[in-house]
Amino acid sequence: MKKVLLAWGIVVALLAAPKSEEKEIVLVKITKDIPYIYVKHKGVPIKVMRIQDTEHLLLDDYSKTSRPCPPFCIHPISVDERVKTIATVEMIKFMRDKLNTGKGFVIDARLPRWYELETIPSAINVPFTLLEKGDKKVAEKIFKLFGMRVGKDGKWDFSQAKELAIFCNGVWCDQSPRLIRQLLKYGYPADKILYYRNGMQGWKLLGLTTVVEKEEIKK
Amino acid sequence: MKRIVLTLLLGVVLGWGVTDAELAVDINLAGKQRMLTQRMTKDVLMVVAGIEPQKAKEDLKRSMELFDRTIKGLMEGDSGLGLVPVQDGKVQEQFKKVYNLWKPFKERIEKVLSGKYSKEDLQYIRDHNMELLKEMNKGVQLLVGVSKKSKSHKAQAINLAGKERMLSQRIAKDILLLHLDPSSKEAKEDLQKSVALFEKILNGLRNGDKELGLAKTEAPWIVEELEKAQKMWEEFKRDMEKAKSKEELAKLMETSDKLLAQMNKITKMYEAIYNRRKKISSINSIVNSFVQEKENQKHIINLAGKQRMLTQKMTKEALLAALGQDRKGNMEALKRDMELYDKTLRGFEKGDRELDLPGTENPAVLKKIGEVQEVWKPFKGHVKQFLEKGDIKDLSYMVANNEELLKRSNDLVQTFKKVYPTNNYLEEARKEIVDIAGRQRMLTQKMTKEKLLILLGVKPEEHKKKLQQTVSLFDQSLHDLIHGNKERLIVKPTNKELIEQFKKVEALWKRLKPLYEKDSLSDVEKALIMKGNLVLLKEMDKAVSLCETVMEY
Repeated sequence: MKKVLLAWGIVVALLAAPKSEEKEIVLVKITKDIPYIYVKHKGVPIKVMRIQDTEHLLLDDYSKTSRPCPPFCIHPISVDERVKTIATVEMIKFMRDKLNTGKGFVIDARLPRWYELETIPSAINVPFTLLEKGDKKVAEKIFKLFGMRVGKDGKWDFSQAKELAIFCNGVWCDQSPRLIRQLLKYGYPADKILYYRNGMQGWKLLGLTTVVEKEEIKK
Repeated sequence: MKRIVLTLLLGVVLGWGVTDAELAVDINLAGKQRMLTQRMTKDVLMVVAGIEPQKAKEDLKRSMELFDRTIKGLMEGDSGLGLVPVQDGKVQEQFKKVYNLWKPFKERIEKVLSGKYSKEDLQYIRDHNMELLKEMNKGVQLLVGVSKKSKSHKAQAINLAGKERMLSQRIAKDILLLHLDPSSKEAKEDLQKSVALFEKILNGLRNGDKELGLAKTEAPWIVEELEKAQKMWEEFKRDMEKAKSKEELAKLMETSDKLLAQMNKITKMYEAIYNRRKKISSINSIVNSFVQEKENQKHIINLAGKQRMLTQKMTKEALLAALGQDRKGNMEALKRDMELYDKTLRGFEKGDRELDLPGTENPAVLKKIGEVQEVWKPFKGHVKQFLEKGDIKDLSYMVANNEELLKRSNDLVQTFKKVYPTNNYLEEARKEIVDIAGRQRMLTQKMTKEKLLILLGVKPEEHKKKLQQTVSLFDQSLHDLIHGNKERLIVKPTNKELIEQFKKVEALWKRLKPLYEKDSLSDVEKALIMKGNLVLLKEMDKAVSLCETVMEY
């Protein structure tokens, strides 16, 4: 099974590789000016675009309307007044302008099992529990990888820290708000955090490309 | 939904990556120094040739200051530039050599800037810029070597893209040298070589070049920028052929700067990819170890929960063997379960590879394990005796002490739960559900044991009461697991597979429950209980696994 998936992964990656001479007609664009974008997911170029079949309907678990609340309650637009909430177009632009130029990261705040099952291309997994259960040392390790530097006096310098666009399952999911609150608790600058509230459900409802690492039958 | 399947192993652990991540910055900036040696020389020549001398002086001053700061940063570190000194003797020795070459070179540049320079100063710059470049290049190569030691192959792209910056300035310098001295063979040859090398590297970055150790660039945003660089280069080459006047040369110098800026942009993109990969690997490594630890915790709690069930199952099997019900099969099962209980208990303390148990040094857990051992050691002795002789005295001991062993086994489960606390609603609820569902397994065995004791006439009234309680507890817990119970923190499942599994258990239970409650049983009914309890245990075990693993409860 693994081999099949690997082979499939390679084939898809090759298909996704850009061909500069190719002029593609895109019926369902992302915006009027953005037909698609390219990002890298674990070293593989991925073309992020919308499904071109205008009859397509979402049938998997992201078409589900109701889950028990609590814990799956609808979240307000803002997770924290200092943190900007973004929608899908802003997320796409972030990927194109910040991620691809090394200025930002797209963070999937869900537990690894969710991430492995399906995620947004280019996303790296930082489960919300990592900082909730971790301490300042764990935060320091992660923040350094986000570009934070530790000064000679031991103070954390976030001047070179990357911008983070954080998401989870959607408006009913509290995993990204919880990660954001932990980031703020440990001093990550609020103006370098973006909350993509629509999350996976919002992304999939627009027919945007996703990546799958472990193929399982979805419940 | 367009879903792309990637079967990639989560993060290859590349070691803790501050040095690796910072190394890309070192390679980029050390590489940039090569360009600066040529740019400074080109600017000096522009001053001398009177081609936009004021702008050339401003650029020269900036380049000189940047070179000076960077070489010091490469030796001592510079947080502003993001430079961390590489702790490698050869690298540091090389940078010191560059610094010693740089000091007299810098003095001459300063003289040019002040306007008080001699022919000897100019000659010195002309004679030594290539030496400075060569030695700086050696430093870059050593840094790439350090990077290769840590299995980083992308470093070569940063190095060579960076080298293009230098070549753009070296070509411009050679053009000026030829303008000032058209007969200079040296400049002509160097120009030809530099042009050829620039083209080879640019082509290598676009299409790959084994000789240069370059793979084809795949990142679309870099490919796009490389195409732009190619067009700029073609334009530069066209203008280079015809540039004769000062104005034409000034325009050419401007184009060389644009080419430099473009190659600088591309180098930074390679550096960003290099750093991103390193960082993602490190983040994955942290997440993986965290996940592993969490999975281990669940696994330990699950095994500790199973121990409770084994205490009851062993007693039941001994009773069945004593009753002559599949004596051989039950004795074998008893032996297996005794060994499993013993192995697991030791594994909690010392670790066990087969059971994937890491062992513990936690004092609270060790204390509880000790308390279980106090009861388990004599219990195990009697099980062994019973297996050897089938003596009723040993069975009596098991009947009298199995509940104490169960109690202590349960205490150990609760201690593990305390040691591995959860701090979010979902996990807490899931943990409770797994514990309650896990306990159901034990109850299937306990009620069967109690039924047997009643049938054997061992304290029938006492065991009837106990059986009623066990049946009632199983019944209530199954109801809660199916329909939810807020007070007990049990969420009603919405997962179809889990709902189906609970329904299966419920159907089995509906058939078995009246038999446990019935006072006298026919042989067929007894046989139904003896077979049925194992099926119920198996199906309940499946439900527990689902409770643990389903994505969405």
